[in-house]
Amino acid sequence: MIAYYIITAFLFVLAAWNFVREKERRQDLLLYLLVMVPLLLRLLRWK
Amino acid sequence: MIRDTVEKSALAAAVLGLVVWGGLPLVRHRHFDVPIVKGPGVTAVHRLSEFSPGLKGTLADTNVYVLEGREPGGKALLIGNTHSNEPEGMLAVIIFLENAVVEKGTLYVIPFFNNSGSRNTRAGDGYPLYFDVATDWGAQRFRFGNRDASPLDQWPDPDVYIHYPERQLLSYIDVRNTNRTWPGRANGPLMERVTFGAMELMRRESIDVAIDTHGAETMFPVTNCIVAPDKSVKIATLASLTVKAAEGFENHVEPSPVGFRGLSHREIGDYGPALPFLLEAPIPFLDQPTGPKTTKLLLDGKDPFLLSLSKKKKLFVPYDEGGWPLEKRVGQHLSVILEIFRQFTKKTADRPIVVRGVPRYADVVKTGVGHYLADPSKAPAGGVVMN
Repeated sequence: MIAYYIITAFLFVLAAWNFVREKERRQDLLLYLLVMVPLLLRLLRWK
Repeated sequence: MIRDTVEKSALAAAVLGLVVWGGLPLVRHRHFDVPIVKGPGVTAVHRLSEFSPGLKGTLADTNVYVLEGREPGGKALLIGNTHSNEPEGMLAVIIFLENAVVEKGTLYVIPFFNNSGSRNTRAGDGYPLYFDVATDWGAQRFRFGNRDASPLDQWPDPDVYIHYPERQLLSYIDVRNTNRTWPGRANGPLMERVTFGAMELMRRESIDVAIDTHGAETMFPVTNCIVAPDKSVKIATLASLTVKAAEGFENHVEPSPVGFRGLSHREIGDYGPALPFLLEAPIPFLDQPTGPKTTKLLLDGKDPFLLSLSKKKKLFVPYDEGGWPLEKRVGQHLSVILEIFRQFTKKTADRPIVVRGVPRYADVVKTGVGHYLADPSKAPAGGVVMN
């Protein structure tokens, strides 16, 4: 179970890092945000 | 740099707003409780976690109602909402809870067996979150759930579900399906703990008959039937023949396959003392080639695409302009359950199960399901249990 949370955190950081670095393509920014939503909810254990 | 930050913050805020807007109805649905009025026969209300402590404090825990008879006799377990998108079973057992008077024997009733599933939905399929049943005193609202438990309660899913204890490989999604996780184990995934709780109840209370109520697609061959293993097939056959002769509706018997594990009609009998029966009523809402998945379709079962397929003989049940309404589905379940009790009592005279006050098929078709649902606002103090 802990491994799944570590994988979730890793993917969240990856998406967040790409969101911060992206400077031009707004479409990609939106996609990064959408990808981050379920990962963040899972990490915060919000139900 | 500042412009970039402002733009990204605005975008993040917009997405957050959309998430809250889309998420709030789901949060409300997850925490919406259904009131059940304790009928004249209800003598106690327990929690399934009393039989499976691993459920305590989770949304998979659920109420177990006891209707102890005036005289001792046999014992039966009635289960509804094993699949929470098949509400005819849940409504049939609620009608038992609110109306039945047990003369001989004891009934144990679990109306929301997969409680987590009933608080889940299938958004991608456009499922409604609720449905209303018209009653004599207004409309009663019920949660419309999903076949499987919510991933909020049981996560993560495996790549393949390895059934316990038979080790058969099943689809990953079936780890959240309480009709694949029988007989369960005390420390397994949450849904195995649910089925383990029911098995423990049956073992401790020496249950004789276990009836799991479902709905199935009209295009699926195992529909409009009683599924029974060898040990229950005699009673199932007699019940099927009797309801056809006396009440005029078809409900054939399907054998429980020995090689398909995890199902209630298989494992309850193999791992416990009870005689299992699984009842299937046809529910057009679940068929794939229908119009929109509306509450109207759920309630009246009328769909033009199914009607067209029926004319081409592609369905496994008779289907005409009348559809397959909720009244017929619930009525069938009620009559078949009562008939199973009658046949069991005839066969096992020293453990009779005699129930009165429960309507049969013709009554429900004539007056509607809602006629047999009690008004929570008129119940005496302490007479309503939230589910």
